[in-house]
Amino acid sequence: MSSEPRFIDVHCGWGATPTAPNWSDDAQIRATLKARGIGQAFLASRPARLFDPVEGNDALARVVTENGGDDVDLKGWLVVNPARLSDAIAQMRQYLLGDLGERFVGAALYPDPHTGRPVTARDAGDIVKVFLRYSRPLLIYTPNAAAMYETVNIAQTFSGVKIIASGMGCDEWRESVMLAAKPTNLMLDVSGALCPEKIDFAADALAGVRKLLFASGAPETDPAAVISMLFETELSAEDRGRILFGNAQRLFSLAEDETDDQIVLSAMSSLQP
Amino acid sequence: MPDPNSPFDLYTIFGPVPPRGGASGIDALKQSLLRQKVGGAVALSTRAIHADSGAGNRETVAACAAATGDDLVLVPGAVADPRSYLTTGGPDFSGARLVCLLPTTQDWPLPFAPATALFASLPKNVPVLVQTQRLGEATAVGALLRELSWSGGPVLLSGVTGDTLVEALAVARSSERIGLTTHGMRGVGEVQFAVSQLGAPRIFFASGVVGESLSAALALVRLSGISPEEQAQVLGGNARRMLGVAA
Repeated sequence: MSSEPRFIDVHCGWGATPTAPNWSDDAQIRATLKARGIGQAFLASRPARLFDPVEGNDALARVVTENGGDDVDLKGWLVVNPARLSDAIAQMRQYLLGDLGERFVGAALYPDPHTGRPVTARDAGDIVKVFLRYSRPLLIYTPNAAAMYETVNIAQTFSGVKIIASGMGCDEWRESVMLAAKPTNLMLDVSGALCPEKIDFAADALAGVRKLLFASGAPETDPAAVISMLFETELSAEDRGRILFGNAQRLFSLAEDETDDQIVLSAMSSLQP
Repeated sequence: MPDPNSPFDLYTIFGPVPPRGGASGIDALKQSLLRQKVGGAVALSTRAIHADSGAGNRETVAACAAATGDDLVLVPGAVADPRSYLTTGGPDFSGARLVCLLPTTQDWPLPFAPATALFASLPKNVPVLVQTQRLGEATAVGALLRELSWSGGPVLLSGVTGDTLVEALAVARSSERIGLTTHGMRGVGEVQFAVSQLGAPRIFFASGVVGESLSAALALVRLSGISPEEQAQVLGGNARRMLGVAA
């Protein structure tokens, strides 16, 4: 059994919360993720999402470009806001090309932080058109079925971009999974509702797990909870491994893990019942 | 007899839930608990939550008696539904060891006059669990307890995370009678934060299984960074002591 952290969390936040005041300290983030068996995580700046995209992305860039540890590799999502189009274009050029481009995996869109209005094709169309040139995945946060409906629309409009719908529609996962079944360029991360039934439902509705990725949404959700939920499903060990890292390796063109160790709660052995 | 040091889950449900579908009877609940080596739980029937609290609470008492065995103790909880307070001849909590008020799930507000009247009539020797999932609800419960000069059993605020956790902790710090369950907590550091604010004796493990992940709820406590002694209290010791359950 390998004890090396190897899971890939494709969507974490970066930035302190009242109950996780150290979630802007990369050493603390790495220690927390490592204890949960996570070897790689892609962070999106909470200040960029909630306050100022430019300042927030710049702050995150300083974190992901520092090599703070060998155990857990932290990369970034560039948060883009349709209301800040010119800033988004400039930051895409700055952070998605050249050496810095190695440290950012793609761009991320979020619902309006004040109203909760989902990302729509009409709002995000201009940004996505520019983003297409970078040939990177686009993450869209989908906290309900209405947001998933809009994300499916974006995926169908821009079939040339790989899209991750993050959050799986949260409590509205059943309808959201059904909506997401059709577009071939749309993947789902398994953050959101802590309900193992949704994973089994998605594996059935999507004819397998190839469109599912592991994400936690930390710090709002502890990755330990999402990983434990995955081990409560009826999935085979192979399918669990595909969700926890295999599908992400393929999507993000990462080095494939060639160990054939059984996928277990290795770094979280205290959780075994 | 179940291991007295095993986890004890203060909030579990059984019965059909239309939006989720699937099998979720008392046997499904029992299997879920045994799979995670949980030795005891308070159970509520979805009939009591979603349809008829009187008939549902009686169903819970019968189901818990039938399902309790050598490896698991199921303790009946009762749903107190203020919407039917005036129409059912008064609430019947016979056999229940925990009374639950579920404003978010049942979609009634707080403050709510029928809830105030119902709260005033609750048996004083039975602990009360109140779902305070929406902002403002924990504050309303705190005000309600002050209004009633509450002298009954412990009141546990449940279903809190993020901003509602901060609110619930502020309310709980105002009275020794108020505690929190871990049901709803999901963020990095939340269980540890709650323990640091109130002390482990006032934090109670609860999952919401079968609709929600029991494994995830356990992981949040076990990886929270609190001491083994505090974990033992939170995961089962506090609940067993409060309910008078030996194992």
